[in-house]
Amino acid sequence: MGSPQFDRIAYLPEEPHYHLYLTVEEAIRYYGSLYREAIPQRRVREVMELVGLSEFNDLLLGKCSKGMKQKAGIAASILKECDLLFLDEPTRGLDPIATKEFRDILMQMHRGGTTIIINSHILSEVEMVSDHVAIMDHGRVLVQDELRKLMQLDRNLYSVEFGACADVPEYVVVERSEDGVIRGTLPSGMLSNFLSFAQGKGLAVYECSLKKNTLEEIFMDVLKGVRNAPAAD
Amino acid sequence: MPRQLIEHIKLQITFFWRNRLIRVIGLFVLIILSVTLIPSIILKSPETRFGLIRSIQKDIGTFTMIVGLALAILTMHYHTSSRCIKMVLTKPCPPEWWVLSVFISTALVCSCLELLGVVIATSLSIAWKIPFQMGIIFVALEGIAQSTVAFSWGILLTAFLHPAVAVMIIIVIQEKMFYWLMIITMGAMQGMTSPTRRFISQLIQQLLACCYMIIPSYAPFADKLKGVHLSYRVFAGDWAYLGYILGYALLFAAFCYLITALIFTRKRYI
Repeated sequence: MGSPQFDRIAYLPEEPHYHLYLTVEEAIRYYGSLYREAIPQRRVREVMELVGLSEFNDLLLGKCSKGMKQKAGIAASILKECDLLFLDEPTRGLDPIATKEFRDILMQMHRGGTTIIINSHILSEVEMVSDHVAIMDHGRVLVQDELRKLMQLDRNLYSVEFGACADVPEYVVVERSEDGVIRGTLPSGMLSNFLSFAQGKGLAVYECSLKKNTLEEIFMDVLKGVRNAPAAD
Repeated sequence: MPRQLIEHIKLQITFFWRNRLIRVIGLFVLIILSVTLIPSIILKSPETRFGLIRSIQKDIGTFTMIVGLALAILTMHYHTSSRCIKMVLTKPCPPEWWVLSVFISTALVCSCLELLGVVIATSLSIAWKIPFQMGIIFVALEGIAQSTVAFSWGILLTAFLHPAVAVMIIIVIQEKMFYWLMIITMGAMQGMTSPTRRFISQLIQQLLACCYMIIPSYAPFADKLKGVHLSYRVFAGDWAYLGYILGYALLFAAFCYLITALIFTRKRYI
């Protein structure tokens, strides 16, 4: 607690509990003043502008919405240039525009040399910003690797999307069928058969690519693998 | 004084100013004081005016002690229970500074209130053409010492207890209680013949003496300073007692600060 190392490490707690009796600007300025070198007022204003809080500087934190409080926490955590930034569920309560802007800020910080560690349950968000991922279950790291390696293309399956027809070949596993479009997967060995079938029927093929795993699918596979594995002696 | 400590003190003062509960407590005590004192100021005869000045300063002293205690307990409880302290402790700022800021900011408020008492008492003395007595300053300084002991004790207890329990302990467990219990035990021992019973009684007495020494004294040397409180005349020897009282208050506050800081750094707030 209060370690000098926090001078180069920033942290946004999962449920930041703020000094609700302070205004937005007072709170950010106060948090900035606790560093070894006080953050100048100009930087405080700059960060408030960046997270979209500049027009609420006189509003008491106690009267702010959840999203605004989260923005204040984000502002406090990015006030000072740091080497390591820990973010625990950072997009809680943020609207889509704020989430996108926050993502851009993170990318910019990362390009500037900051290592960012995000703890999140929103896997699509992690997929968008991370280059290294660790999947944890009950405090244990199950998988840890580069995201591109984890999400590598599945060379055995093709993902296809084509115009609806009555007799879909049995090797096509239909995932979704709506608005006259069928979406499914097929084994890579059956690709030429499928293309002949589509050509023969005169079906429009909208998409045909090697199947890419989403982080959610990887997560589920990893967890299933762990839960189905026999218990160690 | 380190910059971070000053920032903490500013924060605590803002908390005092904006906290509704503190405002209500302050307003409540102020109303009671006004209701009882304003008619007295208007209606009292010239002969009893000196007594009224004494009474006003005494009431302000009591008010300061209550407010100081309330401020300290509420500050500690609010920041730890609402967990906003987490935002402070994840910055490169020693937690001990934050604890110290609670002590300093509360002491500042108490000093201001006592100063207000001095100003009122002096103004009334001038208005009523009563010669200024050093007792006014003496009583105010003694009041600051008493408030310091009270709020330090409150901060220490709130560091590891719920504020309601802390307040109960402050109200119920007082040095006088242990003093009387010691007297009772001593009286009981005189009639005892059995060596076992005597041994147990002696043990209890030692224990009570220990508690008596540990429990803070809000008004040490009260019996020696009765004269000052009655006449507001201060003799050379009385200043020495005031020195002891202030020294005791500072020592006790330092002791409470060290223990509170120790508890604070041991607890897991992150």
